[in-house]
Amino acid sequence: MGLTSFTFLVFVLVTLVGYFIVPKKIKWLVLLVSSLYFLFYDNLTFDIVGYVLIILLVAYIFALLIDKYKNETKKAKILVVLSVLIILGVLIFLKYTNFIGITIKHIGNIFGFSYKFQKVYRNVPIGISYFSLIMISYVVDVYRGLCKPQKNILKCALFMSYFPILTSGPFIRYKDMNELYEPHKFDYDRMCRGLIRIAWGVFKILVISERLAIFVNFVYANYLTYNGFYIALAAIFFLLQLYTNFSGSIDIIMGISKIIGIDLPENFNGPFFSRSVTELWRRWHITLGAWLKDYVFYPLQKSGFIQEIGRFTKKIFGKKISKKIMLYLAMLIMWILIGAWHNGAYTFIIGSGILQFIYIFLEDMLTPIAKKINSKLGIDSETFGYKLYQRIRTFLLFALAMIFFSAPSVGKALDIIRNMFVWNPWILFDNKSLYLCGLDLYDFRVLGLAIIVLFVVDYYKYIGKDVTSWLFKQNIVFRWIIIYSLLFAIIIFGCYGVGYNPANFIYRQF
Amino acid sequence: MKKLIKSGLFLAIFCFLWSIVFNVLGLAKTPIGQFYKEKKDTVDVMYIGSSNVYTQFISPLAYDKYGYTTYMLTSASQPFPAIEYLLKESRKYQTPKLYVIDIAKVCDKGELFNEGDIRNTIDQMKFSQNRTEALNKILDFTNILEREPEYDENGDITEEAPNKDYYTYLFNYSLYHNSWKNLTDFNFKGDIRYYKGFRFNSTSIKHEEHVYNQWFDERSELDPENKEALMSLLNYGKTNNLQLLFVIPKRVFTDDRIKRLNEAYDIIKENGYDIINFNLVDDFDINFKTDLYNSNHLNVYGAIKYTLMFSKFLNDNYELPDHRGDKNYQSWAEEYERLKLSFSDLTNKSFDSQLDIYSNYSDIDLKKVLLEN
Repeated sequence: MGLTSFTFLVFVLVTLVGYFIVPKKIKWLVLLVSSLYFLFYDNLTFDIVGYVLIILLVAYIFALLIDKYKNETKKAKILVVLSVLIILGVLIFLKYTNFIGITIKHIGNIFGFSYKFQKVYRNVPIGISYFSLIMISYVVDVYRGLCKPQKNILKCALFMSYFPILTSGPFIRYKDMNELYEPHKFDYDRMCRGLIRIAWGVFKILVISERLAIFVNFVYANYLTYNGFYIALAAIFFLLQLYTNFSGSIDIIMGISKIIGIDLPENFNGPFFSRSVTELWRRWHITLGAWLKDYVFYPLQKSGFIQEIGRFTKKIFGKKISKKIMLYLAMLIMWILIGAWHNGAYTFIIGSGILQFIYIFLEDMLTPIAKKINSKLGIDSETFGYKLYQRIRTFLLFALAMIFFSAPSVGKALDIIRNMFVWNPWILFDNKSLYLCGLDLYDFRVLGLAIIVLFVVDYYKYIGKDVTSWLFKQNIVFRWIIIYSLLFAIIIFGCYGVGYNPANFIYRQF
Repeated sequence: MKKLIKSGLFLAIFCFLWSIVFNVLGLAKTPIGQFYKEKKDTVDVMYIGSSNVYTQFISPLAYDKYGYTTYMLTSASQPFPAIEYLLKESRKYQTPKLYVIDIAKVCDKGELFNEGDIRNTIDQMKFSQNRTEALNKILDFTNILEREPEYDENGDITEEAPNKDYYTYLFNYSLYHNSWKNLTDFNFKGDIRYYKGFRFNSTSIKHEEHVYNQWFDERSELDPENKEALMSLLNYGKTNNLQLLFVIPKRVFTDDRIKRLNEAYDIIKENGYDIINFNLVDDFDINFKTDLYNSNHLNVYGAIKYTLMFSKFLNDNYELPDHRGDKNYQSWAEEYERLKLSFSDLTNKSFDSQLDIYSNYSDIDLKKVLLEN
């Protein structure tokens, strides 16, 4: 059920009407029924139900047991480790068997032993990467004493399967989700704000992302012919496509949840205004970064393995460098996990993992040097021009890494990058070459305008202002003109309907 | 209360704007969509079928010659199960004396139809029970909601999976995504290439050479869905005491299709209805070198021959009224004039002169064919 499909619209309408008309006590049950319907809509098979039940039961039972043995640290620790291992086991079994098999095969080739591995294809529940990590955080939070376990298994199931977050997140924490079980009354103001947020999300996906996808898919499928600046442009377009697709999905999800009465954590905050890759990752998929910091990075830093390395390196390099080594090692592991979380493939591990780590590592190393140079040359790093340079640099570095994200294999990604270094800038100006890749002049005009609007709205968010609140302060005629413009821009310029398949969300597969 | 009024007003303005946008940017109205503009109870002959119909019968010409009105509920690649529902839908607005049903598509399997073919028919119908039932039948017949993309040997997609969202077919809220780039008078006036269902444009004056596949007398089973649709149509005709005449157009058919058409022919005959197979009309000498614009369709010269022959037959054998001179039927005369003008513009020839050339086609005795077969 695609987020911009008519089926989803009907599903959400039925859910909202059901939610607001039933008695207070059972409102959360409506959400549960809808969530389970959504979860199993595309694929209701015994194995899918089985995987979901295993994760639910493990998290539910172990959380209760951990709470029971909270005073017996050792027992509680064993329980939390066991529960995490089981949930991770299911996730790895479903999503990473092929990756692990192929990796062993490659290692075997390197070290001269043969390992025959045949790819396996399994039914995977929608949103498994989200709800398995969400349930891990639930168990760990109970262990850490940050929240009490949920005694009602159905309520626990609702937390795990809350339908808005199943397709693209954001990551929620049990301790912050009491609102899920509260009976919310219909609120006109929330509804208006929610609907505008939904429309904005649909605009991003159907007008920008799906249109960019046409160009990107064409160029990447024909990169030997359409090389040089075509590829450079496709790389930039892919990043914008990914962002508008993902953040657009999040807007839809946040809007629906807002109408229900539940505010979800923001997942994006003007990432393309970031002046460094480090900052970008504080503004891009915010809840994933936060989750990994809390449940991977910090525990990893304190882990015996890292501490042992710290002790060893301290003897050789001294305290300061040893601390840095511990930090970077934990970071490297975390970034590899971020890449792997996106998908069990080397392209993802490199694109959204290792390369990001390298960027951040280099930033860390080079920033003091750059500061010294700037100071000696008298360059003010707070001027508009300098900030713009930093933003463009960050954007382009990220776009380059995302070539791996979009490519089917590392070899192909490298090939695409290699073919990017062909000098043909005239294709940008000769008034015909760009129109050979699926988009015509009209499409480029629509894209140009839509991307300007996107950046203006994002800039407002970046500086901490809420565009919806600004809109609601405006005179009704102006406000309605803006809203109608948004709605009809989607209707007229959206890539959907005959000749277009429903939007295929890039992040849905995670 | 204030909020309720505000919401209502917002929605009302939205619907108003939507209707404007939808009319301009939606699929240009083709014969099925244009049908709803016809004055109530002014159609004498309702001619239903696929593209064969809109390329071969010049309804304004039939009006000019005999005075009865023919409207053609046609669309490109119209799946056969749609015919019964188009017929039912037409009865809500018109009371024709005769229904002519082109059965060329009865021999086509559901898998041959794509999303566009379905939309060509369904999207043009008004939202109604007939439309919904037709849609459900066609979706079952074509199995379009279950289709997967097609791949070549390299694993690349050769054909995308069609739209599988049932509601987009049911409610037809989708616009045609490139309409805004190419606004023409079609977007405002409807598809002006049609003249009461007959389509005439620059394609209609082209010609392609084809080899006629000689008709033969073998039979093979119809697809179950097509057979069911045919039986249902025949039963509906009987139950409602409708005058139905079935036709098989003259064009290039494959051997398999000929066999299935023979089977359909027998079923129709067994049920007591008349059917004319124009492939068996010896005097209807469609020239496969000059009278077709492609293997499946007559060009305008073939259409003139066909219309002169068939309109005479309808006039002679069914009690059809003559409305010429009646102001209520002026639109048929106007469409004829518009057609003649377009013909002269495109060919630099007079339409009347062409009629003179082919005038002998009015003398072909189709009744004889009916009786012989």
